[in-house]
Amino acid sequence: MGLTNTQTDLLPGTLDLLILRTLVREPLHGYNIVQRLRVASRDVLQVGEGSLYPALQRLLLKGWVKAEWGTSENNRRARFYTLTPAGRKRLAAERAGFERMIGAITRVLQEV
Amino acid sequence: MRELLNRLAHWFRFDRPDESLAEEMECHRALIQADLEAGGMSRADAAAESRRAMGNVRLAQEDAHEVWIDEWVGRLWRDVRYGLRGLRREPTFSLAAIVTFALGVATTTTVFSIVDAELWKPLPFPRPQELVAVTSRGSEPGARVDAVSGTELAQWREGATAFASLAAEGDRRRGILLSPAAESVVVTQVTANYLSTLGRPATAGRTFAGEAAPGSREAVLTDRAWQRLFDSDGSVLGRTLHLDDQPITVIGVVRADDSIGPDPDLFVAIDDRNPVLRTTADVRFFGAVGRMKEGVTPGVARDQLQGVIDRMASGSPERWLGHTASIDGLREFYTGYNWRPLYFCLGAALVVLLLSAVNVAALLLGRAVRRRREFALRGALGGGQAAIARQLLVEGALVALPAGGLGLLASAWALSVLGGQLPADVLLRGSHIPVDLRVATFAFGVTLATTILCVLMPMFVTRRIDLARVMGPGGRSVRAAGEGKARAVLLVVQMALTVILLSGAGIFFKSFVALTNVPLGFDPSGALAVRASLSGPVYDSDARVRDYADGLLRRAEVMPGVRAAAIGSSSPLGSGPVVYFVDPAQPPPDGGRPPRAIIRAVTPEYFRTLGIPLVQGQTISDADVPGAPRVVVVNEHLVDVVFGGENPVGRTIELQPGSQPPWTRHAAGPLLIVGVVANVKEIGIDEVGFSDIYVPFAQVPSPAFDVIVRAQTDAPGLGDHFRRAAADIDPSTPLIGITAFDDRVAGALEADRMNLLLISTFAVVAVLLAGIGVYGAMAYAVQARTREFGVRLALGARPVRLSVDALRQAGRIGAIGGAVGLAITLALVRMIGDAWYLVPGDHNGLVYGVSLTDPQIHALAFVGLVAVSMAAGLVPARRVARVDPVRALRAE
Repeated sequence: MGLTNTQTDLLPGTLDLLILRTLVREPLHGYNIVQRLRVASRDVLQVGEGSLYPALQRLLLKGWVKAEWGTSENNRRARFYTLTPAGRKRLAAERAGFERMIGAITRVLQEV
Repeated sequence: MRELLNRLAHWFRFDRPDESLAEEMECHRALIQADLEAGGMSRADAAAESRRAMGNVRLAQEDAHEVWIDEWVGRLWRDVRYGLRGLRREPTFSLAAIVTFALGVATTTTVFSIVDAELWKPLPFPRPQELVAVTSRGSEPGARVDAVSGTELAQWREGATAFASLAAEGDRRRGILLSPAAESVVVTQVTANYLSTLGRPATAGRTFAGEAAPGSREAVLTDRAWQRLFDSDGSVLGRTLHLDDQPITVIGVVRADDSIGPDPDLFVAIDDRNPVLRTTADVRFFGAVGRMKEGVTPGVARDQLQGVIDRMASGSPERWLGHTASIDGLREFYTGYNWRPLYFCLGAALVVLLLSAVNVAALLLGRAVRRRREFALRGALGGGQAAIARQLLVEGALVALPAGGLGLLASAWALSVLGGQLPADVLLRGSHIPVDLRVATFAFGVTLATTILCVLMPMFVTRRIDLARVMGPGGRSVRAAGEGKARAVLLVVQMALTVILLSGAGIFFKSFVALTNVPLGFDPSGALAVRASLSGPVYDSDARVRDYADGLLRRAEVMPGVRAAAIGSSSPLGSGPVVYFVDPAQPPPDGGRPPRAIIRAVTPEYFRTLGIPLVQGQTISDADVPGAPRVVVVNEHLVDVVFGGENPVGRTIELQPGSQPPWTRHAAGPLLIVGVVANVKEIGIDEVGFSDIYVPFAQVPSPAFDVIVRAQTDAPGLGDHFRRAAADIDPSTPLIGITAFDDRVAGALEADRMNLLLISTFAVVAVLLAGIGVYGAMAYAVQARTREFGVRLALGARPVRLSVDALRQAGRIGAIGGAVGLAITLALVRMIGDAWYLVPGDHNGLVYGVSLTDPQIHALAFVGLVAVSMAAGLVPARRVARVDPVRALRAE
């Protein structure tokens, strides 16, 4: 398990986008979000909670997610984060922007 | 916007975010641990590994937290919460600090409110610089403002064109208003232009039109009375009510305003030109309120009014000769004369504030010292001095802000209680001093300044905390460098301030005692004066005046309970007109003015009735009638000034023509001195001496005079008897008023009594605060030296010896502080010079018959302080003797 506190080598703002993406289908708590990201990226993205929780607070502050207390699989109180309509809109916009950026980068890399 | 709301929402759930985040992250960790256990790791290893994997949870929490709050706000918030926790942990400390601080703020704020209301706050009227008090005065010493009749006011208005308008306020009196229930109200009669001259608009209805219609009885309510009597019911406007059985019509409401004296409940406009009024009671005003035309200076207005008065004097010299006009700013006229005692009180209050600040500083210092390990640790861990300073400042503010609020509340309460108590001639605005924004701002400023002052001291001490010494072996016994010195400085400051106030109280006490022991020259107990003033064509001749006076005197002599009765043109503590005179046997004084004296026409029984002792010769007798040789009785002061203390009986004096009232013209020519009587107080207890000349009333009758009676008991019916007697002689001439000489004496001492009361209050508070300060310091010192005492006890020292030792320390603090205080006091005294004494013609005195450098007073203040300091040290000192050496040593 390589969960660390070191900042992941993500482009700035990407972590927010990825977190929002994991929440599209269902509300998740912090641990779940880390798991999802790890599994979906095939162990490439290992988000430390040193980045995760400040990011979640940031999203709460912007009103893109909301948090509710629920019970985790080990029967503890955990906060489940849900995407708000504003968050959904944001995700769509960010995603479009991100894909445009990736496309551009890819094209540059292929042509040269 | 949304972000802001979220931020705010977060803000108000202030205690939860950290906890909930901690819980959330703990859940996260538990899940990791569960994963690891599922992977075959032992429970303990999994727990350890999960914790390692989580890394620095606190740092993550802080990062998360700081998302929400801007950095400095966040830090401030942390400091506040930390400080609150600290205050909760030490409730005694917190309470002591807050109460002490509140006491200081309350005292200062109360005095500030009074001074501000009386002296500083601009008048709430439009263009207040144009408003002036327009008055005139007679030439006798201490003369009061002339009462001006409506007719005379009209003459002023016609002649003095410098004024855009000239209005006047008459007597205030209590009346019964049927509304329809009978209510007691305070009514002031005003000229119809009074409210418009000041520029006070109606808040409902209207105010008086420029000139009252003859016979109209219009009234304007203040909003206070409107609220109290009618519940602010608008339907009362235009209604006719009955005031003392007279119909009046309420036409409007004005906002109550007490800036130039307490407002009445009701203003009633009087038609000051009403001919009926003119011939009977002739409504009287005490001076006038004028609004000067734009660009007119007070000097121009004064000269103009003086011209008017001089013209009036040629018509009726009896009334106006020698009277001078004066124009003063409204504020200066109504309250400005009071500045000396007010500033003095403000100074004393600031000293009390400083004292309480010092106490709070000592408390904070003690606390800072208790926490020196914490500060040292923080310093070692990289917490900068700035962080610690910020923390201390926040903690100071946490004590100061509630204390400031508390102080402000206490001050509002004190003002409402004091309101009814303060004598009206000491504080004009006594009853209605508001706690307004200015006062609140002041209280806040004082609180802020004091906080900074309180915090500076502990900060200074913590700055020098040395980690190695505090944390090292036995470190608990090591006192922070500078701490002892800081404490000593605080205590010395406190003691010094207290000595100043104690000395002040001593000076005022001795002064008051001196004042009450001043021989008055007459016996006031049981003596009364009833004033009569005869005017108009009926009393043009002396014979008529004499007849009236005789009639009233004969009737007074036989009133029940009256033991003696006499007439005087004026009486002691009532001043009188001044004349210039010469001793024909002596060369005229070169260059200088001739000597002055108060002249008084009296009947033979005057001296016996008032108990004025005869020193030489004889008094005026029944034989001194018109046609008989002209005689005078003089007082000892005159003998000293003019005859060098030699017996003057048989010599003569001559009055000089001048601006004295015309009735004294009968005393022209040489006057034979037949006797010498004792000096009496003429205008105040602390006055400089006056020369008196007594002439026989039969030879020199005055149209205004006092009937003086000495009554067996304070017969309550006496006033009625006099009214009946006066009506019996001439129903158209009412008596002016009846005063007891005891009241005159009390009135003359009122301001001094008030000053003594105030300074004593301040001194008592100061002693209390100083006592608390010494107690706290000693208690702390004993605690800090417990180890030392334990060692000494274990080595066989006698407990009493240790107690004495501790007590001596308290005494030493008192002595050093007292000495510093004495030095400051003497420097202050030098600065004050003669500002506290009566300077004739310039200002009244605050103190009398006492030297500001009186060694007795200052010595007593010093000794008193040392005693207080030792008394406060007694309890901690006794505690020393009870130290258990074993426990004391083990405690380390």
